[in-house]
Amino acid sequence: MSLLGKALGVRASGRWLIEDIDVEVVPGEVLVVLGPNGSGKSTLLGALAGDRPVDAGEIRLEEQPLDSLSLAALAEQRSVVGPPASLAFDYTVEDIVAMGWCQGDRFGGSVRDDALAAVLIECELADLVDRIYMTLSSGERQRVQFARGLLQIWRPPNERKPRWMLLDEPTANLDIAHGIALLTALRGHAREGVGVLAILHDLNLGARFADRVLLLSEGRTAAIGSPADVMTSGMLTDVYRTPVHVEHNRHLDRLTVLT
Amino acid sequence: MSSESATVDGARPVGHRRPRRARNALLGFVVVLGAAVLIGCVVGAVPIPILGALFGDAEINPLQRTVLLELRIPRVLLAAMVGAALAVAGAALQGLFRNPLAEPQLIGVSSGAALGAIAMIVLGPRFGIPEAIGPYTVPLAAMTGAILVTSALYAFARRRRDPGVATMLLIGIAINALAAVGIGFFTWIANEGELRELTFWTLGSFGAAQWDTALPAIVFMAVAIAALIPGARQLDLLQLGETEARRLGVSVPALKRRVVFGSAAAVGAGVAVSGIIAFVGLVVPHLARMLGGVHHAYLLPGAALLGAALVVVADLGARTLVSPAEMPVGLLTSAIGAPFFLWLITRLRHRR
Repeated sequence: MSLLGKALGVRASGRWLIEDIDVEVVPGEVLVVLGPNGSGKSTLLGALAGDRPVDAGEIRLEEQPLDSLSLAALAEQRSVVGPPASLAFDYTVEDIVAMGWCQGDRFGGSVRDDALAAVLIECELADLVDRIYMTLSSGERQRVQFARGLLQIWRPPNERKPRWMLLDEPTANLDIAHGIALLTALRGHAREGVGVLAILHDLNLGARFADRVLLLSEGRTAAIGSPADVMTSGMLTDVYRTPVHVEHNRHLDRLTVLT
Repeated sequence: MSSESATVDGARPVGHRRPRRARNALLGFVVVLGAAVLIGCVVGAVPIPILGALFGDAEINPLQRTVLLELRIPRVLLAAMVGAALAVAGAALQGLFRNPLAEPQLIGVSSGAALGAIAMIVLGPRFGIPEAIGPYTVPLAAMTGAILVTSALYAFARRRRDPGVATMLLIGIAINALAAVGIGFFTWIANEGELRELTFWTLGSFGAAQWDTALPAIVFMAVAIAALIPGARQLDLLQLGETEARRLGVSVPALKRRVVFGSAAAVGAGVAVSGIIAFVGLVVPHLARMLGGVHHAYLLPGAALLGAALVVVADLGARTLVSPAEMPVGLLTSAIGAPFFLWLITRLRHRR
């Protein structure tokens, strides 16, 4: 029972963007994807989201081939939090968050008010509901993206079906406090049965919130495992091609990464 | 957190406000449209005392009766339908292109339709297409022209990934110029009789409205509008971008087909019977957004009602302002629409 990618490869204009990647996103767990620019993180996320067919390997969601699932069925089980959109029209924050509600009819009048209220409050957007989305700061827009992703896979508390959330740099544009709050919330949702894959750039946040880390380098898996196993000074220095020092901080009782 | 009773500041629960403003706006549009249709039927070269006949002791004489049934009603109905079709097509195209300036006439869809219609009028007889099916072939040719232009535009817009507002308008200029070449060519090879038919397309008028020509077009437009409205929620989601919409479960190619064919059919059928009536597809959706919000579930029907009302009023102006003569209604809508367009551009420039 997981979102499983086997020997994944994606090609574009004659070269492999990612090649031979095995990845499993398990409900209950936060998998953080790290790697330098151009190492294939977003390509991998796009492949797992089903944005386009993969050129090698296969992806299964709960044993079903991903491409055999309808877009609607997929949207009910997994959400994708990408970079904030730019809009041509004056939708409000509440409108944009409510767009995550995929269980409704095509006219969209059916979003559950308690679910909407819950995610708006969780993402500290309750005071911004009536603001025009395009007037928000980039950090606020980022939180709107996250809120929409949460609403998309929202379920009543008694219904514990597995769900997945794929996030592409969800803490970009966020200040430290909001970044930590978001990842803490994400962990909480993971514990309730959401399988999380998050691309992060901040190595410290990765070390702190990951159950497992997938480190990519030039489209291939450099290492996968627990943060302590993967995030070593030698490995990170190799992959990022800049001196990186990792130590276990005794006061905080966690890994800290110095660059 | 307890989600059942979640409120923001105690004033109102989150998520309860949205539909009211839209509903009020829709109700308002229905009333305005009703009034416009009634006035449109009453006022004209031959005034018809409809209210007097219904509620008082006025009588409708045979002449008035003929004018009402054979001229006034088809004309008002056609004007309402064309207004609705152009406005819905404008709203849907703006949604599809995610661009507030996508308008059937500005981006060349209307010209494509006019070219299709003109080509059919000039070439049809030469290729032995019988005149009896003319009421159907001309709208179909116009729709084909509109579909070709819209598909080409969308293919281009997609390749460029979010073309800016300026690019969009430049493409529109190019397509309009191309269509002008085609129209010029057919004008050149047309004979005297055909020529008189052709001039009517460039300005737009409901002066020729009769049941036998109006009815097929009205049916086409009604079907097109009915096909566009169910795409409303998906058009909302598309505003986040194609990839994002797909991740939210929207089949983007299907939505694209719906909007391209629906709006092209609406514009094509409208242009085929009334010529190019400019700026309705631009002004009406923006007006409707200001009055009732940006959701397509409201916007599409709202634009249809408001567009119908405004074009009925514009046509009323066209046939009464300079009576006993009549001015082309397209001239009137342009006179109102062009300044609005200018204002919209300056507003958008401020925002970006």
